[in-house]
Amino acid sequence: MNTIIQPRAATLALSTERWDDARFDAERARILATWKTGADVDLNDAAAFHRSRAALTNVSRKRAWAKETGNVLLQPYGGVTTLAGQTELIRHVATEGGADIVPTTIDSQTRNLKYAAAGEALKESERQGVELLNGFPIVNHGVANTRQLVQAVDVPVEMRIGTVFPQLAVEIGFAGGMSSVTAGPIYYTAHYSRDTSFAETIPNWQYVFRLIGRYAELGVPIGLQIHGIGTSTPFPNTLLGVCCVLETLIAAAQGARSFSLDARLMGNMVQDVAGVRAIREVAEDYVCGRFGYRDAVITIDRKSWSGRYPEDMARAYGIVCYNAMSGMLAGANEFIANSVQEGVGIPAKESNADTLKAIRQVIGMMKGQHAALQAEPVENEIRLMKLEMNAILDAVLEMGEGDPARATELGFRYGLIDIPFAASRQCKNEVMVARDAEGAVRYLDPGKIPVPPEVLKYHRACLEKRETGRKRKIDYQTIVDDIFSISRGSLVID
Amino acid sequence: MSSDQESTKGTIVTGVIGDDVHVIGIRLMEYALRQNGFTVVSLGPLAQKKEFIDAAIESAADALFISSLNGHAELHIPGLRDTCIEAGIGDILIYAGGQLTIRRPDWEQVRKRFVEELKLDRVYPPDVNPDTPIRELEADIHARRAAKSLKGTA
Repeated sequence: MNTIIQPRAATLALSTERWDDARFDAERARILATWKTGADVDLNDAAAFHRSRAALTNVSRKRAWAKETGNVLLQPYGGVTTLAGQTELIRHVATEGGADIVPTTIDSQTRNLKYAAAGEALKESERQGVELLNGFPIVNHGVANTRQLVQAVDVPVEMRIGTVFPQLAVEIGFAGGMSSVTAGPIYYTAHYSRDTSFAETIPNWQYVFRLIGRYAELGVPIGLQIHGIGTSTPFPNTLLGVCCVLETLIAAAQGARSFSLDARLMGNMVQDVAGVRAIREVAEDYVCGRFGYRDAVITIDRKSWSGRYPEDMARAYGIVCYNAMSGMLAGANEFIANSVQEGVGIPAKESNADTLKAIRQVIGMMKGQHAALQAEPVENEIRLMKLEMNAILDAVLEMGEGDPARATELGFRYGLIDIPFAASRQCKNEVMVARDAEGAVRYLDPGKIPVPPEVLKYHRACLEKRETGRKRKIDYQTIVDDIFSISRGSLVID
Repeated sequence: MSSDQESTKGTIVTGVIGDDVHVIGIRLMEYALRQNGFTVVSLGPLAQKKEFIDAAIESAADALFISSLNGHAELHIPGLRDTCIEAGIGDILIYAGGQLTIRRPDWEQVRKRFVEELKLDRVYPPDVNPDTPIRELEADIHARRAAKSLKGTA
């Protein structure tokens, strides 16, 4: 028996290749020992707990069922500190708001591995009867409390955790009966960290994906909500699509098979409809086709506007309903719903439930209406988006010699994948966008992103049309106006 | 981080100082600098004094562009000029922009505090058009280089 210390995952060469059992088991022993509640995690016991529950209390099964039956799912955001508070929250949004999947957002102390501080805040919250953290400190709650939580509702629970260190929290969440987690390495590197490199975050998330593979081997499907990339400013959904494909490929290699990919609202109806359809087609092409994961289930969830909201709830309802309407026209499978209190702060459970009811009303009216919404512009936009996503994916995959993890790392390093206004040093931040006359997001400058000439030419023509219309160049102030326009009441302020 | 000073109008180290993560302003400024032919060395959010100085030395930068929106620039900028002097880059141009103080006094008071007392070269309010600092930067760099070459020939 040698006594060589197992190197940290990050020290091994970056590769998409499936982890062997020795590597995973050694890393797992290390992770579970980082906090005392890790000792309660037992994979076989956890799988038995999952199997003992009704089929549709599982996120992955519920998404597959909805896709098959044509049902559209609804999930709000939400996470509070105490078990009692979180139980009340998910019960309320499930029963009163009719949520199909309920969230449990993890607090930022836990996301940054500050378990002792999170534990103090949890104790204080229980003592004072207030919710002091910005989410559910799942590592401190441990497996037993988490099982109590998931059993409080008859809908599945998705864990929402924005971090580059997901391993222990995810272990507790899955062992506690949660059956999906938000992911993955690109999104959380670009937006939840400044310095952490892909060489570290990709292995950290590969751990989660391999754990999902282990659960699958025990007959328990576990889902992923794949974020790709995104900021709180306007950006092309094509960049999100490219990163969703890369994150999905990295996860699939470790054994994950259930993927809900994000598409984000930007405000222009043609582009919002085209985005959902184009991301779905490109993802299915690469994941199920080119890379051969034929049993992967891909659905698209539509996320609402992620920038600033109006403080006025009545106006926020307008955004919420526009999101539902455009998502339904596009054939989205699920809505992840920012509440109408988004512009004010952390929403009360009542406004979360009310928001879900408003979306449900739109879904009810739109269901089955496959309206041909100006078919030609939509089809053209889809064609250009696919052309662009294919060009970027092919360029970075070639750079990474076919390996999606290396393609990610090199793609960002050389700016072939980029996004405006990112916080991370892993992004070059050389790309700049603006809205065209109809509010669609167009490249003002693609930086080093290999946008095909035909796409770039079209984007430039769209921007010139706006400039001609208002008789003014697109300047710095325009870029700023385009970021805040939705909160001010109209998509394009000229 | 890289720079090829020869081919550009100058090298600028940019960043959001201290405990601030608001990047929209500095990203826009970086975009404008590149559009105008400058080389940008970007530190991003949460940049510390030492990071600015290390990056400036490494890239032989002409200027530091410091952004802040959360009002804490007042806590993080004092001592910056002295630290530059100690590091041997005392004459580097230092510009700051954004919401630099928690309270919002008259702009003249902000300017006095940061330029006269803290020895920055120029400060700008949050709504400044990026073209303004760029024109002033071009003039400042031009003047510096002219003075240096004059010194060199003397």
